[in-house]
Amino acid sequence: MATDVKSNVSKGPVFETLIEKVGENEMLLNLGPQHPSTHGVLRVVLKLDGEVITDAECDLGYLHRGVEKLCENRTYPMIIVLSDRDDYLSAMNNNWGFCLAVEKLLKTEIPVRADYIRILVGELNRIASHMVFYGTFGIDIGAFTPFLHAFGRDREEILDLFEEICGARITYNYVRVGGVMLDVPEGWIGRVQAFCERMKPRLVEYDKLLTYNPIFMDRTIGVGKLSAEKAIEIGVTGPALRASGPTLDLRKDHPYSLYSNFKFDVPTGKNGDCYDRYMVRRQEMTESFRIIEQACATFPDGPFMGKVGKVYRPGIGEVYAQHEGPRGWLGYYIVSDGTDRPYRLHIRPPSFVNLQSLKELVKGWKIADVIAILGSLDFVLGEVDR
Amino acid sequence: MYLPELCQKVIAKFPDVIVPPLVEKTIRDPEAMVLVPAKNIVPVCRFLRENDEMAFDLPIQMTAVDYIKENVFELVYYLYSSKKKHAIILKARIDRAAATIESVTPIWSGMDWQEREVFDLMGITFTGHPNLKRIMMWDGFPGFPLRKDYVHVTDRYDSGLEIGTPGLDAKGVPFKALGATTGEAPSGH
Repeated sequence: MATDVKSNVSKGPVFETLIEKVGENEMLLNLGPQHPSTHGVLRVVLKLDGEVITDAECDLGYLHRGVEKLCENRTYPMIIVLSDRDDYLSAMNNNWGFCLAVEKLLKTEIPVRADYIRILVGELNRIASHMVFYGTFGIDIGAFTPFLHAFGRDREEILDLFEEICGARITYNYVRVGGVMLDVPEGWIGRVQAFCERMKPRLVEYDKLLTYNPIFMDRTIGVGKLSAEKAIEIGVTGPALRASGPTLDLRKDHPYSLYSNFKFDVPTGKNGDCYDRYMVRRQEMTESFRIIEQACATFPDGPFMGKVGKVYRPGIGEVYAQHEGPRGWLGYYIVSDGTDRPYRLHIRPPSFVNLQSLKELVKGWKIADVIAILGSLDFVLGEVDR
Repeated sequence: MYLPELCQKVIAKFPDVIVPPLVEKTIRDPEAMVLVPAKNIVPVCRFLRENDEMAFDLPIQMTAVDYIKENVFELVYYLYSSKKKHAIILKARIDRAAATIESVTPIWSGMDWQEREVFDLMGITFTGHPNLKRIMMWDGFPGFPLRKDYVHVTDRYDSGLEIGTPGLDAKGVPFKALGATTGEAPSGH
């Protein structure tokens, strides 16, 4: 149990510090890094008194690829490819976030049609990401069927739509600086509308399978409560924050792109427990479908790419651009020295900041509840470690 | 929206805080931006958090930039107020050789991992941080990768190169000598 798999040079730092504080009746338990419910390679060291958790520490870095350093040696279009790999469950939103920052540097105008396409793929990707959450959260709690419906059937349809538009199913590299890579194919909008229609009865099915399942409710209601003050102080954003009460949503509060043209609600929770975090995401899927339907109905003609050269050198300066990703505020901070490569690029990944709340959330709960809490935070380790 | 009145209020309270002069043609975010002397970072942050007009309760992000030509590290803090819905950019410049600044983790616990990341990858020490340890790299990793004078030392993942020698630069040319930051890690690492 005490062996560290991260490095054969030295012991992991986390275990050692926790061992010092272990009392007579306490024990340490290693969760991960290969535990299926950690959704990637995350190691959590739990300190237990009997079966009750008294402390927890996360050990990160197993997926660290040094993306920020790699970006310093790449031109701006080459970085869009890297942004796909950060949050691989919503790569469209990552492309979009990075392009927003570069467009802010270049002061580029985006054609209306390109913005519409971005909103369509961004919201479809948000739904696809929440479908992965819906399926895996069910598995964490012990319900396997929702996974087959959401992940195996419905998400595949979204991936088919993406494959049609850009040729890729996971890493799209589709949103480009100035617009998007290609125009939507003939009849694509109609197929998106048909998909929205197909999904309406399926979302009712989702609720039957999981939302109002008594076992699921017993396992999640009241578990892992996060107060609004604590969540804000940690910097938690996205559905995890809105489940605690605040209605902070960049699409509403600081509208970017064309979000001010669309009607949608921002679902919030009351208690900030696992069930509320689930419910907020479940309702966000419905709201995203509302946005998609409006965007399809008013889809404009025009160019899909603005006037941006093949090679571009932004001026000297620095910008920070953020937008509302499926997991929270995804921000890119770029310092430009006037060359075709960024002098410094920093990513503000929502999962990384949200995961800090885990330590607070698990205290006082049992190991089985830790799995529910981990699942309800819906983090992606590719983004946490970068 | 540029918020000079927000800056004015900070400056009225702390006279040594300045608004960085806007050099012509440089690009900058429209949010209020102030340059804080490094020794005052904690009092200024406490004021921004606790003052009712400021109410910056949500730390968005913090990071550091290595301006090696000017021999400084610049720390950048982005703060947001969930009540007032406004944002401010805080900057602090510290000497590259000392590379030490006070931690703001006691004010916003959300800065914890972000400061650890800067400590790990940029080699800046945050005094008063409750748990200042490496977060991304493993213990014994030489150097600080995000510094501009970092030289990669080859390891078992570099095929065709002898382990422990300086690696190849972006153009594929081997580095001549080890950089200043690749020697023995300073204490605390």
